Amino acid sequence: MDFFDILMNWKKIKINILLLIIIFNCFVLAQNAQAGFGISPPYVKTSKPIFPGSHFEQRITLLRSSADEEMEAIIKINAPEIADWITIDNGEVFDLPKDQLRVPMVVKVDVPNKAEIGNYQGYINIQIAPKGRNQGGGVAIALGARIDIDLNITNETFLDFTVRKFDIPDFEMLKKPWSWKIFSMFFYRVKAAITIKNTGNVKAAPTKVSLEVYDLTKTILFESSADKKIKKVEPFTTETVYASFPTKLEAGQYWGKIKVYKDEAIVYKDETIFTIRPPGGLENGTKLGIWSWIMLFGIVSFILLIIFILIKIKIWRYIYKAVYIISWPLRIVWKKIFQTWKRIKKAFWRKMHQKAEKYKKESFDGKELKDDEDE
Amino acid sequence: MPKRIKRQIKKSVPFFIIISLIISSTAMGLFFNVDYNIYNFFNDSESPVVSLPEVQADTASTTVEVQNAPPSMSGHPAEVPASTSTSPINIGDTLTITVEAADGEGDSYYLIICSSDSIIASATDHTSHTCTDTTFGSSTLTATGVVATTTFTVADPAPSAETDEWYAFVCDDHATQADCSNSSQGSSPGSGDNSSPFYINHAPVLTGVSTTDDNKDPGNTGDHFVVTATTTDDDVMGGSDEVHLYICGSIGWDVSTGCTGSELCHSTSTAPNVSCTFATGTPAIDADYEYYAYVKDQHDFVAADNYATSTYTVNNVAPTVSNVVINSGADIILNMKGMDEYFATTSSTSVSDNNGCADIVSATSTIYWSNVASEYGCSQDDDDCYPIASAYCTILSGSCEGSSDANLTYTCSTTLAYHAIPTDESTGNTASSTNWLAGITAFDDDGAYGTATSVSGVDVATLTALDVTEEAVPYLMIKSGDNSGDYNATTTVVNYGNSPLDAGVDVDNMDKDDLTANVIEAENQEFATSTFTYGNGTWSVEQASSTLQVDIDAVRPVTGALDISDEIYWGIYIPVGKPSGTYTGTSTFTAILDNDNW
Repeated sequence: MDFFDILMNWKKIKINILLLIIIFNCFVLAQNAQAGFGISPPYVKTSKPIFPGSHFEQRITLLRSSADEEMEAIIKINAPEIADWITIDNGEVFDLPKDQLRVPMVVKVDVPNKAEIGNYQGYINIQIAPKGRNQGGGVAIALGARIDIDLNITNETFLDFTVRKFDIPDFEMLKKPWSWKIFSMFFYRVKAAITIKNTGNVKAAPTKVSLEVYDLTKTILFESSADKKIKKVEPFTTETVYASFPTKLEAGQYWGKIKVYKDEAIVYKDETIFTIRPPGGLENGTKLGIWSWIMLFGIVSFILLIIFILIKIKIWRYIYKAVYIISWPLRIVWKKIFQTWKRIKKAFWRKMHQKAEKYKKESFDGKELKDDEDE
Repeated sequence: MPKRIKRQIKKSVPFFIIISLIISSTAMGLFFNVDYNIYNFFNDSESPVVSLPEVQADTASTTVEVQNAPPSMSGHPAEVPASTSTSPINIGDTLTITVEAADGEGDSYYLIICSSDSIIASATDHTSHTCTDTTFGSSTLTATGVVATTTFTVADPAPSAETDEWYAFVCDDHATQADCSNSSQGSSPGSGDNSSPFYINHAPVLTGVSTTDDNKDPGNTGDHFVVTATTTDDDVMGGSDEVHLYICGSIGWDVSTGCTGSELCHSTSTAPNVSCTFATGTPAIDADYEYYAYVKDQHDFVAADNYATSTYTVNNVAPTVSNVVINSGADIILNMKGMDEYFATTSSTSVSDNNGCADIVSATSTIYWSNVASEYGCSQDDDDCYPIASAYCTILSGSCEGSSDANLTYTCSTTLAYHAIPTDESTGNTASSTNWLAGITAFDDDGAYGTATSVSGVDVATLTALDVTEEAVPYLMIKSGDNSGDYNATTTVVNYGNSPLDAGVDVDNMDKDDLTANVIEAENQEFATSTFTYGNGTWSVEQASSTLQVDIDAVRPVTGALDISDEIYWGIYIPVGKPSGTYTGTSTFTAILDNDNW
């Protein structure tokens, strides 16, 4: 083997070494690939068409499979017709903090009042990149995700909702003065917390919520009532609303059967056990709210006002006279009863006196006779 | 005698006889019948006309021994209060009889009540007057003219009877000739309330008790326990006696107030064997409960054998579950592949057992896709069914507050895989009309169980996610004026979500790293989903920063065991004249929902 052959072999060896290095690098790079990225849900859309002038929010969760380093998300809205309807709560560039695998962002859609009826589509592209760090050599790979925008604008009303859950929280019997009927009829109530998802494009609430309260064996119906004044939920939002029902139940455990109506149709029914605790039995107590105090203040003020007015207009003497006049039959009856009682008493004591006299005389006669006999 | 005179005499004789008879009859009548004392009359009136004859008697001695007379009753002896057929005296109770008597010599006296009309008076020992038969009672020595009272305990006569005759005697305490009066049985013997006889009430007899209708569920208001006591009461005067039965939950009973502890029931009956019914409260532990039967009659006379005891049995009932909520009612946003699986819960605030919440020992659960086969009974599949073992179901601390509490809260948890079937309204999603539900089964200590599933489901949201295995597009080294030929740099796109995936590819220009403004334009790159020779790539980049949607083959994953991935192959041309060196660029891979490939 001459020098040339050795040199050629050395070149081949170098190329092979270089290839090996490249292959090794590719392998190492593959092992160090950046974390996966995704979004959920990948859309901005409503279950029902929305009105011009509506506001709609879609919460989208950005996910990374690894959050070893801080990154930033860059948002690009690609929706020529509706780009100015859309805003991102976090802004168009925001951080994905280290160690935070899930980062929420809210896409807000404000449909202009003058928006034309129709379907509008577009995209929101999200790209994530290491924050403040340049790419290395070669064609680096970045990850992103696309949010599909699909909005239907309509002038048609869609009223719809679903009930996600319900519960009847435990509560306690009221203490005085709130247990007085005038207060308890307003503030002693069974409350059902109903989580409603409004899937329509207008505010919505159940037409009626009815509650039946049974004993633990579900055989004895204690109470049944309905609430038709349920707070309405904004379109495309989920909110917990409360139905309240007056009650006279004592402390104990009960089954509450609830039915939620949309118009005349029952859209949800379920049952749960709830506990009414004795007064003071609820760990965190009962907060009746400001209205109870306003009512108490109002009643006290009203009474004071009446008293004040009565004093002011010197009406007492007239009231006395009126009562005096109105009560004349009662007074006559009372007088008669009193007189009769006096007569009975008098007759009784007269009788008793006579008897005493008689016994006295008999006793005297007997004694005299005995004395005569002795003599 | 002349005839005329004789005739006159003859005529007068009848008149004389008649007048004589009238006068003599009148005189005799006055003397004997009217007891008209002529002597006294004349003596008192001191009539000057009639003077009494004075008798001159001879001396004669007369003697008489006046015996002590027994006291005499001023009125009638009487029971105080009166015993009647409707208000008899319980055996063992006392009866009081009173009478007032007077003694001629002013002796004190005893009231003695005998069972027969015979008494043996003791002349010298006034404390020893005794009835010939049974002495019911004797008063203390009572002064004459004062009411004497005797109180004695009523006993059942032999043979047993509901009445017993009594005879009242009053006997004095004369020192030498003490004597007793005749008997008296009161003002109206046999008919008067306070007269003889007195009425006797016998105790009811309790011989046992049993639960004749047993084994009931807690709170059995519609199907009561029936307890029957074996009782008799033979008293019939004034109507058959009512027997009162009290069933007490513990030992202790008072004749007037009833059970001192909890009373299960009480009832009355004039017939033998009294029954009463009761239901338990709710909750009631499934067990045998001892109870105690106490009996009395309407006259508050208790049975001698109070109490009798037995047991009743409360059945075990299965727990009930309701108000099952999945993921607190919120839609589920899964974690993507490579992350820890999403932690999902299902809970019920209404896991109850009418045997008490402590009777519930375990629970299991399942979170499942509403269209899965067998629904709640589905088999484990990370795509659509997640049974949760009892080890992962826990009772909310403090939710079971003791034996009076029927209810508790269970929470079961599991993790959901990244590829669980999405049910939201993603475009093209064939499962958008379905949702995810949950069920919970609660077991008690006897293995009885109850199950409920959620009324409302939640959606699992579509998760669109990817990862690219390579960190860079490995183009190797290419001379200017050359292209990559049939060598393709390869990038592998892996579906990290639960939806079919397309990849968006956005290629930037490549800048030379010496910042000399030399670039390799993006349009020099080509790529395809299969290998190609440069110039034949499927997608030719026309300008930088324009995203191309690549329809890769990355279907929705149905298992976590297998990566769903597809390759994108790359080629590049280095325009002539590009200075040697390193050029840097970025290609962005975007996760896009492949909405036509569900």
